[in-house]
Amino acid sequence: VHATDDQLVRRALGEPLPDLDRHTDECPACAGELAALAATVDVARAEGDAGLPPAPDAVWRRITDELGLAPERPVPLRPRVQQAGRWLLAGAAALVAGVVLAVGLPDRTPQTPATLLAPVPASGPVAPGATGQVRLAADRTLVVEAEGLPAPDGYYEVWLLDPDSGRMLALGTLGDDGTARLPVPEGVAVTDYPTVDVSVEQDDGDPTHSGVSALRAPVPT
Amino acid sequence: VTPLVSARRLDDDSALAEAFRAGDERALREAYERWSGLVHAFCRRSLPSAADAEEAAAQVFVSAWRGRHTFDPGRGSVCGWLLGIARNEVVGRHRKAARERELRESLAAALPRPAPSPDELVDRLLVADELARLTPEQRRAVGLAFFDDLTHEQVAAVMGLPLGTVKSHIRRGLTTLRRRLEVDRGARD
Repeated sequence: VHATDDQLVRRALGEPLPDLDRHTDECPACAGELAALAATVDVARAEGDAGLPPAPDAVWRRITDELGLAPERPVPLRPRVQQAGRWLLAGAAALVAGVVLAVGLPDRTPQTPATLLAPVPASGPVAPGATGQVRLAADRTLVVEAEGLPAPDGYYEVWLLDPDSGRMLALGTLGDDGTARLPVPEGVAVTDYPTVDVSVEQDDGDPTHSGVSALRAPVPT
Repeated sequence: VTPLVSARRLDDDSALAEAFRAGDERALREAYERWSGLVHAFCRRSLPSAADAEEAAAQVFVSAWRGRHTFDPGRGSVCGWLLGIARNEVVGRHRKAARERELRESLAAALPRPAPSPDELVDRLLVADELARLTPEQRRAVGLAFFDDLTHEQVAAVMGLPLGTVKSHIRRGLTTLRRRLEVDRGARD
């Protein structure tokens, strides 16, 4: 009878299991498994849990310069996961309260049904548990109402984007209450941009998308 | 230019490899988005200056893009290929630095040997990168077991999760890390 996965994992992590040791002395298959798992644990422990910082923006600029490509930042198909860890911690510190009541504002009957904002990516999101909705008002104002976003280390920016072509358009920033009413510029067809994206931006003087997306919704049409 | 595959499908590794080989620029962007942190960390830890590391990391992607037709998916992953290029880039820079130093000092200068070795460094960074990609709960469980040396039972108590869940998080987490090492190790001489 071979060792169970659970036993091998525990032993690889350093728990003393004399019965297992007796078994692996005689069983090359289990000894091999154990050695591979233990080597992985050693490697992980040598590096620690700090995570990898993202490459500096200068690296991407050099690549696009050298190859003569358009210098837009990579489309954030998959936000940088290592930043998610920091966000989870930040999320514990403060939550931004959600919807503000539109008391006293002129009545803007929504022209379109609202679409729902969902955290991105599906695994390891920047803002797990955040929700909200987006609608397009009759005066071509995009109304964004997000709830449960962690207080940002920077600010949130709202974009229209087309993940397939990489085209994107910055509409404006999200207020402290997680909401914004942002006019869509004259001449822009929202149907050219199937996705509304809420990104986390730093005040770093770089007007392009940071590559870190918190929420996305289909564009309301 | 008509995109060959939809951006969403690029999430899939083999589709990314195919699009990359075919010269779809979005595949370059996606590869950069996924692995630039890893490649840059490797260069940064292997080279003495931050400027050198940026230059080397950029050069890895430039070389990969220009040599994309040489990528053979049968011989490894895109990530492993990039790390192999990164190793060559770093080794080449060390050799050049050593030659320049010899000319200057006319004595055999010791190479600034990065500790750990490039192979160990690649392994460590791959694991760190994969750890960051685990689900938050899995990552926490693995972190407590690996770095805080808690037993499975203690992890369960700390996280307020059933022991079975914790066992499965740690087992799957460790298996994922191991697989990543096996799949993505850079090309080795």
